Amino acid sequence: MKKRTSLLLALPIFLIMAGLALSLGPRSVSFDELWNALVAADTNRPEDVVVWSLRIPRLVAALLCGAALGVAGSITQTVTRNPLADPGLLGINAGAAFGVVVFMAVAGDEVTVARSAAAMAGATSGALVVLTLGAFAGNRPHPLRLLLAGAAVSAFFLAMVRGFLLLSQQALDTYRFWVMGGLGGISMAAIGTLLPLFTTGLVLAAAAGLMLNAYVLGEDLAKSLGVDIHLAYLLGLGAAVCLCAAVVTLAGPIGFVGLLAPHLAKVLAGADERARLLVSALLGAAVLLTADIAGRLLFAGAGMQAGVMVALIGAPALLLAIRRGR
Amino acid sequence: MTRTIVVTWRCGPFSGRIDPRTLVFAVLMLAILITMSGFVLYSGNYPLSIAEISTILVQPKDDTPDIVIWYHRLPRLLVGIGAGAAFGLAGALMQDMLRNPLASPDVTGFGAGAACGALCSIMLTASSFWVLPGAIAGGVLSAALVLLLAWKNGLSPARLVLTGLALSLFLMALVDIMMARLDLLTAADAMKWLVGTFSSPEWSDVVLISCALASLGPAALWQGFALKRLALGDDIAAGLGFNVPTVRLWILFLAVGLTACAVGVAGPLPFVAFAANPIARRLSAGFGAGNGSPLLGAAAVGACLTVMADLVCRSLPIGADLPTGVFTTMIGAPLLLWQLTREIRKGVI
Amino acid sequence: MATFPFPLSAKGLTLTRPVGLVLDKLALAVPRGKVSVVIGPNASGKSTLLRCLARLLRPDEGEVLLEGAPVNLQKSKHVARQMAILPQNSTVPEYLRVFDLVARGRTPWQSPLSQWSVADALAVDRALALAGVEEYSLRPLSELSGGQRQRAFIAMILAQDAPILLLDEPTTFLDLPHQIELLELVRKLNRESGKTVVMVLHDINLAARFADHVFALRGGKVHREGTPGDVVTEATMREIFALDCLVIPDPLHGCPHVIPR
Repeated sequence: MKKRTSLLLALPIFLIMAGLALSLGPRSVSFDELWNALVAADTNRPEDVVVWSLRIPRLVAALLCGAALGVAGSITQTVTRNPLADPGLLGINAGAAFGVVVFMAVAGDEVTVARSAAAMAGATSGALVVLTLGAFAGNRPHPLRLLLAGAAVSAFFLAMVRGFLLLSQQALDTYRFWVMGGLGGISMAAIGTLLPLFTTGLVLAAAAGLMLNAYVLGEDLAKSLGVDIHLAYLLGLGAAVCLCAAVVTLAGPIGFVGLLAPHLAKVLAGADERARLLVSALLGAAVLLTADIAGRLLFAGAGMQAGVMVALIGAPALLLAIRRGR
Repeated sequence: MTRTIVVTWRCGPFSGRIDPRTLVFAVLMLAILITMSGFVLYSGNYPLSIAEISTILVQPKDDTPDIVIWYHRLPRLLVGIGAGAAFGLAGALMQDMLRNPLASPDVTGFGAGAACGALCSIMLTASSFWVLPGAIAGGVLSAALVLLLAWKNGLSPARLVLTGLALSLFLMALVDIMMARLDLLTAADAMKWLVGTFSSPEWSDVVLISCALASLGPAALWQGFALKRLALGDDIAAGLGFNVPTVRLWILFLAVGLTACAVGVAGPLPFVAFAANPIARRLSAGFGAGNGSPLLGAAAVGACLTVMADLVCRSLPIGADLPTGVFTTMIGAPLLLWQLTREIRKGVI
Repeated sequence: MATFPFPLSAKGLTLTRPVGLVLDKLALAVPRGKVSVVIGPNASGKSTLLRCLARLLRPDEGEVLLEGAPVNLQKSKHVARQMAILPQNSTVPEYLRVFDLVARGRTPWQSPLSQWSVADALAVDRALALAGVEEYSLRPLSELSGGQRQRAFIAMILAQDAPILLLDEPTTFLDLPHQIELLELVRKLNRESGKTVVMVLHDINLAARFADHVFALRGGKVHREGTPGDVVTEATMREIFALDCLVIPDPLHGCPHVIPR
């Protein structure tokens, strides 16, 4: 009963939050103006332009990135059997940071497609190095080695990032804003370009998700249920890499959502891994959207970047959950 | 697994067992350390020959070469060895105590707290004098906070690590915010400290880290006995006569103490604490029979890693501006990864 | 020095978990020099009781007395010299050799500066021989079968040289011949070395065969105690397990044998 009422409440809460997301910002849009913009858009009205070209893409980005991070986090934690696994640990965020910093040092602070490409290249290279080095031991999946390799590779890339930042103040100036992970200034075109990657990631996640209930039972039981854990492992990691690479290219490195959402989802969804995956997606979207709105509510002007807000709000929440549990 | 040979020694009421491979490893580490020390004293902008260096070390005078050695290179070398050993030891303590190879003193929230403290000092006071005290204070405070939040009828490893991680992420977000709010020049300076450097150590730093190692080091090594039993699980360790929560608390205190002193003299050198223990274990016999002293091995590897990083830092042409912290990671991470790939090919574990 | 008839006893032990009351003012006294077995249905608190006796768990109320003195007030090392515990699941590093595992059992008699005295070496050799694990003492645990592993752990607690042994379901994962082998080893230790043994067993028939004294738990209390003949009866089985059964004397060993209907 409790679950059903909370689900019923979810929809109106979501609408209110969406409304807030669309109206808050340096140029605030009142609810009437918002309604007019949504229903009868007129490109001559500046509020409508703001709503359609800035706010709506931002809302979509928040939901999409949040869901992607939630899913990536849930799959990574299940597949590595480690509740501390953050998909960022797979070398994705650190690799992207490196790509971006090199680009910044070379080409300045242009926010262009080229910079996104640099982020993507870095992200996938980082993930490839980690997966090649750590994913398997012989033929068997080896989650611990994966996490160790991820930590080492991430640290390595970050050290090089810092090296670059010390050599180029210009890069530092731009990097220190990019690193906070912000949803501002994302265009629908950018979302559109990355949509295939998001979709691929979600499809892989769904495919892996079907196998996860058996995966957690261990190799022998899974095999007897007809599930190949190698495949599940690869699909899961592939999904995590696609989704995280897409997020970091779009919005910069946003950590924590991938760690928090699955933990909360476990409380709500229980033992069913598929349900947990779905709930992680929803919770991740909710968390990121809340962080984005809070950033704009609590800080004047352009607000505080969502990536940082997520940690500021999420960490105390996680600490409370830890305190209450176990 | 190869046959291991164990040597028993007895001397009055004292006794123990040593794996000769551990001794070999110790000698090897010492040799590496001495060689690199030689290189550190040798390299730099002021050229000196080995003979000159030896004379200066034995009979110091007041000339310029002597000053270079005695007031620049030697303190820097000793601080590197001391801080590296302290970091390595602290990392090994945390990883063994938590039975988690992913742990590091960062798990206590110390690193993030120190960064936060340092940046707060920079923001609030204009001088660089308060950076270090601010960092230490921040680090100790966050470690205490993590302990407070994670303690619930004892200290379960899982809860400690998760709490430390959550608090670290929170504090690092604060650090990011502060970095964005500072003006660019100050931010660049802050960045330098954050990365970890010990470019101008003095003899007072050497004294500090020596005292820390002299007092906390033996206490930490003494705990090696308990840590080897803790590896068997909390229940068996308790059954063998340990008060597990108390032991954990004490080891945590030692690890934070060592880290605080090391950060105090060398800044937050990344990766040394995390990687020293795994590298040492895989290189020495501590992996098998468990008769070596893995803690001592970690300290040795930590010292070597730091000195090596400092050497690289000072030898590269552009290295003059890049702090040591960049190189501890750039050397340590590949070393750890190399060990991991060796295991893949050997099929161990 | 007066020796208490009961080296290990509990009074008023109460422990509550989120699922409910696990131990309910439980009282028992373990007879010296005998093999006592704790039986009872799942979730009757058997393991919890053993862990409280072993001071691994702190009860909410009540106390555990070791040789008449509260166990929580004594130094853990001192307790370890008198009481050795084999817990149910142990996550031990797999690369550890049998010899080194057994050597760890000497911990209560060691210190960081004295890690391998002559007494230690002798005790480990004796333990290896008693448990019958000498031939694979230099192999790592990962290479052993379930039965061999369990014997290695038994050797470890034997090396501890404690007069009281607490074993939590030592026969899990063992096949029947190995179960019998292990329990006969335990009985031999009791008969030859006079060790007081307290075991949790889930197999009633094995309990009836190897126990000198049985504690039957139900609802967090000791429902019935006594010799196997006293406790393993059709009435008790019905009361404790809600099991309708026939109890006949075992044709080979004379102890009660339960046959469920």
